[in-house]
Amino acid sequence: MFFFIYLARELRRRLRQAIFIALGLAIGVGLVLTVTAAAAGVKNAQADVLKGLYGVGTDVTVSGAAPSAGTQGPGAGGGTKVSLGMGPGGAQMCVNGKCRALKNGYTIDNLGSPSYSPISAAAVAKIATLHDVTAAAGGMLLTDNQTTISSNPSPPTSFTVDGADIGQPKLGPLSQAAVSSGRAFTESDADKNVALVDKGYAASNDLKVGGTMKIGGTKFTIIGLIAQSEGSNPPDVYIPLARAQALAEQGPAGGSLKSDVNTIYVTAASASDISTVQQEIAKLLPKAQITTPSSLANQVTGSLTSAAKLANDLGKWLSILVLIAAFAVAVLLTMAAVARRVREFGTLKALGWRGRRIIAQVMGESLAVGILGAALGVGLGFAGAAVINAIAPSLSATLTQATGLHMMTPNGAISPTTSHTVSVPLSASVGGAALGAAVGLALLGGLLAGAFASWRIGRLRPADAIAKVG
Amino acid sequence: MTPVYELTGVSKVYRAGARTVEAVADVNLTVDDGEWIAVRGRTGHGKSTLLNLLGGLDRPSSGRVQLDGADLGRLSDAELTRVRATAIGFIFQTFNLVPTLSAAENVEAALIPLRVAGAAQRRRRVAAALDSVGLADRAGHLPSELSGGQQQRVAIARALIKEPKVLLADEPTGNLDEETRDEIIALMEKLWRERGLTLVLVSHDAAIARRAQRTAVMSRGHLALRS
Repeated sequence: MFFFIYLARELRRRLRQAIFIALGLAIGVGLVLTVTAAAAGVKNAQADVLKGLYGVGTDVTVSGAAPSAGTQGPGAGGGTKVSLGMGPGGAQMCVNGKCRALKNGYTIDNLGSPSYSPISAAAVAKIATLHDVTAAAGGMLLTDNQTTISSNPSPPTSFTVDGADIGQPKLGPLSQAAVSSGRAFTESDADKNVALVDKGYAASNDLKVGGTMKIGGTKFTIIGLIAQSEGSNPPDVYIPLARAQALAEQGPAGGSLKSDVNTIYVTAASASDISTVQQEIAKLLPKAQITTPSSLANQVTGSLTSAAKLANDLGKWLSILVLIAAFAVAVLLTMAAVARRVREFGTLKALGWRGRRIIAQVMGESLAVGILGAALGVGLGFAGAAVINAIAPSLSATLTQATGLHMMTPNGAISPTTSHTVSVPLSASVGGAALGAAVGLALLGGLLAGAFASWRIGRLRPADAIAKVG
Repeated sequence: MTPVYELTGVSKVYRAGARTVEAVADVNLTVDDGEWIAVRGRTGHGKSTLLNLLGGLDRPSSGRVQLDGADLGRLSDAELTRVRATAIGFIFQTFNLVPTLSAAENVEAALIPLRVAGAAQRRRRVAAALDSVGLADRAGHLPSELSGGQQQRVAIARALIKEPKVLLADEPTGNLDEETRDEIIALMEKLWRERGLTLVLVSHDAAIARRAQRTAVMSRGHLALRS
């Protein structure tokens, strides 16, 4: 009881100094919390964007190496090669080597795998049997390019199509989609020409449940509309994997993809197994691109990435700097306070107080200041997060992907890409772990100040202490 | 009479850079149980250093300081702390009260190392100690709310609450006016008689020294006894 009375009285005596130290710690802690909250918000926004790419349950994504325009050949990857030229019957357009006379209103519809080379479907089963893998599913990420011949030339249109493994609904981009109208795929749809269409894409192209659309020149019935994360560049249309394999063509020669997939979605046994799984797959498929959540983050550009760098680099170092300054101020002021109390501590030693009892008293005072700093810092942290949420503009994330078109023009070959930019709201939130760490930091600051003061007290000889002032 | 203190060839040397200062030089002294001895001398001649050696606040550079047969210079820090907590009461010229604690709490501070169990018992002892110095009605006052004489009374109560064998007073009236000085000395004399204390009082004031049973004079670190 005496301990607390003495502690409270001493803190009250140097209330301004105690508040000053606590405020210093609070600013440091508040800044750490705010930066952590902002970083967590950015991380969540990134995760939102990334999970939309390959689905919630996917830890590792394996895809065939991206083909380049110069290395195309039959069966060797590559997208849709479009060329304009003159044939025996006059002007003609060639798509993947198949040339047709340019007649008004004619539409060339090609479903291809422009971005990824094929992987044998047998690899899916092999990956599924790896030790640290719990599930694997094949998929076909395709692009349907439609070019209509017209007297008024218009650019080709395209939409993305995903051949989804209906037997593995928890893997792949479809896993994070929610049916908003109609129904989802069932096992019986595996070989049917049925499609699920992104709600936004359907709205902008006037597509409805029960309606039809052409994919790879084949008519598909739309059985449902789905809502997908806006934070990614999800496929526009999903069809059963078997149908995608049957309709898709690969390379300029239009090679068959019936026994292939171009993407494999893998779930690792645990997060710590991801790198092991990555290495095992690399041995199995040395030419494949293996993507993990961390490497996937590099695909995203835009202000979201800038914000992440800002939070991780500048914010982190600013917080550390402020914390160091706060700790230094706390230590110096506490040392100064102890120096002013030399006679007091000398007297207590003369009364028979043990050194560690006096140190406990001083540590208690410092800890109390640390607790006050932690409380104020937590308040500042929450306020900082609230300010960020109130004033921070939405961040943009840009995903750049190949269209798969390799157009031969009189000026040479061009391979256009598409950029998909989404607006991602930043929601800074203070998490429990960050809260614990921040409180710990404030207490550490208090204890550190107390420790330095204790060191000073430990060196104090009672005769000197009394003689100095008395 | 049984000797409480036995000092044999006690010296204390301080180093100040390259210079050495012999604050106490070859002091031999015996203080009997219940005796009041006054130590006089000019400022800077080693009176306070001698008192620090008697109180176990400092260790001699050479010689022996024995308290009830225990050589204070050879005790461990923990043992010395224990001796200070139980056997020795200190009174300082500047009172040395903790400014944030009330009179009662300052007195109670002396009981902390003794681990006196029970808040009620501690309160009772504190009240009795303050009553013995005539400050029962000032228990809740802070030192800043008390006069110099009252503060020294609180310091006396703090020194006596643990019922020490020895009371060491370093210029206890040095900061007081003449009237208050007489009151404090009268109080100390009364308590010395009532409790059978051994009192070693350092003062440059001849009037105070005359009330002691024996007087010693410190001059340049050397102690000369006068009957």
